[in-house]
Amino acid sequence: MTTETNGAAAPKDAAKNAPAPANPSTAPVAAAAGTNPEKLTPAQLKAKAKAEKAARRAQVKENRAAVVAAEPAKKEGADGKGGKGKGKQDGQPGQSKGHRPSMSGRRPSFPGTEKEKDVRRGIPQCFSHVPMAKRIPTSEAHKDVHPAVLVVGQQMATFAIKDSISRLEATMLALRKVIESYETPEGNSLSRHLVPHVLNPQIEYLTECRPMCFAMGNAIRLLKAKINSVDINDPEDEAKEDLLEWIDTLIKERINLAHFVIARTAADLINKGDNILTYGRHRLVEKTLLKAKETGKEFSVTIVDDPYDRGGLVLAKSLRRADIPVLYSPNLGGLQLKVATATNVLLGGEAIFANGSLNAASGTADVAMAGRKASAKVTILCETINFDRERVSVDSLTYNEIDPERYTADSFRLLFDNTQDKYITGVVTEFESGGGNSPAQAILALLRRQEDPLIA
Amino acid sequence: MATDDIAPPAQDLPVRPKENTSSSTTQNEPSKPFDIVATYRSLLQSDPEITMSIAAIEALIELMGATPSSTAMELVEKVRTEKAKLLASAPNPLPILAGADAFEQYLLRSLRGQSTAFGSGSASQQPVLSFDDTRQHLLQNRELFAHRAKEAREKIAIWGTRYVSDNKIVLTAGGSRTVTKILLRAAQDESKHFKVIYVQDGNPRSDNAIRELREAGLEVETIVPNKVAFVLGNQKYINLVLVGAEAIVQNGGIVSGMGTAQLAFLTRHVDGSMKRFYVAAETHKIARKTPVADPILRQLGIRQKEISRFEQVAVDPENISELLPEKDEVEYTEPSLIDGFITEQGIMMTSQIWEFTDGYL
Amino acid sequence: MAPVHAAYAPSLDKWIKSLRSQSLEASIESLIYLLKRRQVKGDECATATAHTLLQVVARSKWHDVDQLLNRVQSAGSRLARAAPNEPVIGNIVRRVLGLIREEATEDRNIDDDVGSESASDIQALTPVNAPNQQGNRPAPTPVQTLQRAPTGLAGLQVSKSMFNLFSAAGNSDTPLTGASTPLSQAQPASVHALRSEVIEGIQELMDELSQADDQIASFSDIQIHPDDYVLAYQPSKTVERFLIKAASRRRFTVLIANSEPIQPGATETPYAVLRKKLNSHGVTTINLATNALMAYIPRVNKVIFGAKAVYQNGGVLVDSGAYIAAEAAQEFLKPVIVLGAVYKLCPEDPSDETVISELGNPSRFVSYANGPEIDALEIENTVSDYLPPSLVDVYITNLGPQSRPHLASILADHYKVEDIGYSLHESEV
Repeated sequence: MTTETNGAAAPKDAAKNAPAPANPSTAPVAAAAGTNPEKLTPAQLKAKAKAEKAARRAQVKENRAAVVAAEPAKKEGADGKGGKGKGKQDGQPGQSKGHRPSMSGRRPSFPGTEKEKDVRRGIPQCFSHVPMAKRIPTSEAHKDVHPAVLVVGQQMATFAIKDSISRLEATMLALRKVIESYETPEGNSLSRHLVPHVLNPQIEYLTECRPMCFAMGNAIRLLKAKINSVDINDPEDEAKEDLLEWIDTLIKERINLAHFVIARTAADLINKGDNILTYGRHRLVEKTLLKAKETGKEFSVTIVDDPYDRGGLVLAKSLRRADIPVLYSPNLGGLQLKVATATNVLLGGEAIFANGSLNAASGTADVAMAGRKASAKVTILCETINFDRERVSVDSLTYNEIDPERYTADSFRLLFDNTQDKYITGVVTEFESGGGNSPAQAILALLRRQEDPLIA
Repeated sequence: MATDDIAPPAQDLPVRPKENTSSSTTQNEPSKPFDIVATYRSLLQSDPEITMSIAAIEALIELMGATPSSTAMELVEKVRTEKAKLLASAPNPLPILAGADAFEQYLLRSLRGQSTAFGSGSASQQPVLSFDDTRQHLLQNRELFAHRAKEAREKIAIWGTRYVSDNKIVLTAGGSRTVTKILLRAAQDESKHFKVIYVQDGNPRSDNAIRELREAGLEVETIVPNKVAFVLGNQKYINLVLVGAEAIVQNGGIVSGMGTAQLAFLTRHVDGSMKRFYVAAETHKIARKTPVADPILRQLGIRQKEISRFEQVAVDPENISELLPEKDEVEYTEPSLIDGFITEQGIMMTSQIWEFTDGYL
Repeated sequence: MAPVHAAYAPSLDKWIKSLRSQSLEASIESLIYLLKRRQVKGDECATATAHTLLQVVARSKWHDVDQLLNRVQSAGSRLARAAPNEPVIGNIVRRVLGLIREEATEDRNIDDDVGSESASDIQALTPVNAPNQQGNRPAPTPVQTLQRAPTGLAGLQVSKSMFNLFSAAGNSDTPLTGASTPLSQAQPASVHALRSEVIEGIQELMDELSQADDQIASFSDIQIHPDDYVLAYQPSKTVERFLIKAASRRRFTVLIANSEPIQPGATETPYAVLRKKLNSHGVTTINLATNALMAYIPRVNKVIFGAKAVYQNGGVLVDSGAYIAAEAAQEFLKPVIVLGAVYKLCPEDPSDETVISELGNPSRFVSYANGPEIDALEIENTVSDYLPPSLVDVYITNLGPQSRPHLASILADHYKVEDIGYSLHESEV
């Protein structure tokens, strides 16, 4: 009972403490130079520091366990560098140990810090393996974290940047800045130094803020491979320029072009007089519907919303502005009848696993299943950068995230769910094979062939 | 896909002159012994609307009339032997069995002095008649029973209309007159605008039904049987699949024309709109038989080709001419595929059929 | 008539208290008002209907069974029409009608033996709106043929028997006037006796209503096992009691699905009382802030729903959003348990219209201050879902756990066949 109360109070505190996403870069200064309300005796300070240290260690441990469970990128990074990356990861806490005592010694106890450490204790036991985003005061971030990455980390922790592709784009742009300002220290080479000493701390910080999404994992894996392939003898400027260009190409091809192609392909699947049912609001679905309307198609849309998110309402407004008839349902009630009249169920995805199952906003699986039961065509829109070719997921409790706003027994919520591929009629990606509407399995095979020669 | 119980025309059998079997005649010509089979067939011939079950009952009543004075037990014995003859005469004896059984049980009940009604409801207030009264009652009311049986279809139409929804499509097959009655009645309802998809199986009964529905102004689309799965999967407005039956067996399964089981199976298993499979049939088609083992149809006493002609040639020495003609062949549909029965006594779930017959043991 | 005292009766309890001080008509009107505003809803409707009918029997003027049945039907229809998505109202009305028929039959059998007449007397009480239509067929026999082509379900005689075909009594050939009803000539004493017997019967029915939840709960420890994870979809009072009873015997975890976010301004977390009680027994509870339950089903051992109504075919009317949860449970082969007292069993097969869920009030979700885009939106928010029978594994009634095939016989035990076809919504008595 006590933990529950604690838990209930925590999100509020966290919200207060988290720097506003708008100007996160100024936040650390404020936090460091800011309030120092109470004077403590040296003994008290010492005791406090000790307690905090212990708590922090526990926290780091827990986080790591959680991250390992859900996190693609680290493992991949480790693979890229043989055993080295792994060793580095293990060394990381030791490094931070060196800094932090002095920091907390300098800094007065941060109200709520204690609770912040205990946050995960509020999570019901049966979901304790599922990771959760965490707001880390920028003051506590590793000193090596680049300011641009700090900003992105905060934005992700606060869900100001939310969906996988936005997160991917923000991450890549931030890393671009990291690389831009990078200079290989004397006696090191870029291909050996950049990843473990500069990139990894950034990535770890981002992961601590919020478990990495699969798109980020994929892109970072590819980026690391790219860096590894840099010839030791290449001039550093050229190598950097090469990397920056590579990032630009990735954003252009895997995000911008992908969006354009997917929207165009999926819009082609919509026929005059169709009723399209969708769930919540997904960028690709929105683009597709607007595109279809643009090309002069007359159709109607049923939006089934998540009452705890209400993204669908935003989509409804956007579609109404484009003069598309919309039936809006605030929840999953009466879904049976709504799918029965829908010709197509159009859903967006966060990731697709090697076994073809879909990771998407919580509720997507319910809608897809209902759609399939009613023999509506269930079409998934997803950029290939979100495809994970190595992991499989058979239920929603394998790869998921807890809503940091609702993580206690009083109110608990998972952010994603897992849609088995048997509920999916087809997947539209930017690969235009087979009319753009091919099952996930085929795309995975295609990716395997295409991706490596393409990037490496 | 014949799913009703219109009797096959009495084929090569000698048909007695019509006036002989008309309603006024309850006596055979004294010179000839009573021939139950001939009586039954001529009854069927004389009235195109009569069901096989009812014809069997009427024939047995005629038998009673032709068996003037006898003790109760003698009469029951006589009914039994003649019933057996009648059953043996038909390649599909199930509808006859349903009617004849009900008749026999009714006689037996009065013999035992039991009430003939059971279950809940004030209908159980019916008087208990003596055996002689019962006999008189049966003889005098023969016409009434036939009339009630026809009336039952009207009642089924009333119950069934409820299942026909506005702006929806009914999928049907088999040319059942009961189903046609339901659809025609629903068509009279101003508030219901519905359409019908009819599986055209080449059977004249289906063609008749389609014509009748169209003449009544209903929009009827016909499809070939191999289009059923496609239509069920893609036509979202189908919410009711409705068929008739030749007989209902005790476990809630039905015996009806070929194609019914396939239709029921596809209705249940093809994903698509919410739709239900209903059987419209009079309760006098309930036969006290429960098929439990293969081959189910032979167990039920039905003589038709076993699966394919190959088997027929190799294994079955039976005379082909004694088998059901191919167009009249029937099949068994599992109760698990049936959502319910529309009977003149209301809507029944498959589980209720057992209870219903159980009461008259 | 205007709802005179409606303003003074904003809840079921207050309405019941007001019964004595109000006229019968005013009580009915104020209940209709409450039903329409959904201030009395769900299980409360059953109690409210029973109270109303008790008043009708006790306070209205009637001189024979016909009149009494008519009064009850008329009052019942008005209530049912006020809350078309509360099928329990119809159930209670039909239970009371059956009760009256039974008492009347018993009375008469004691009074005199009318023999063959009696069956038709009672049947004739069912209203038939069609005029007699004499068929062209000859009436050849001592027993009259069916003369009336029934035009509506109300006219159907539905005594269930294999032998209806041979029945000696003409099924519905008795004139519809109450003239043949023995009680119409009966002395006041007999009316008085019937009145008190029926009132007693309704009181028994009210006892049944009030005890049902406890009786259902008594079967909980059979269904819930130690260390189970139980998903309760928007637990009703019945489900709450079930869980609490189980908690006194078992340690398990309850996931409570909330389909709606807490209304802004609400201070209490949802199901706080229930959770407190469960926690005090050592049962862990988790409020799930979602109505998309697919994600949680793999973690769960069984799913429990409280029924609003259970139909003849085993289909269940449940809270909105429950359909998808049940479907998800079936996909993962998790048992779906439906709790529903016998009085929630509707003696009818759900029509297509039943399956179409009720539209709710959208304004709770969308503020119309949202601007012109929202004004142009068509918003649909359903209040009930329908679970097809194939999604339900077991029904737990106050008479114990039941399987689908057995529902029909429970229905047969509790309703008179005459009342089944009687549609409360269609009739305008």
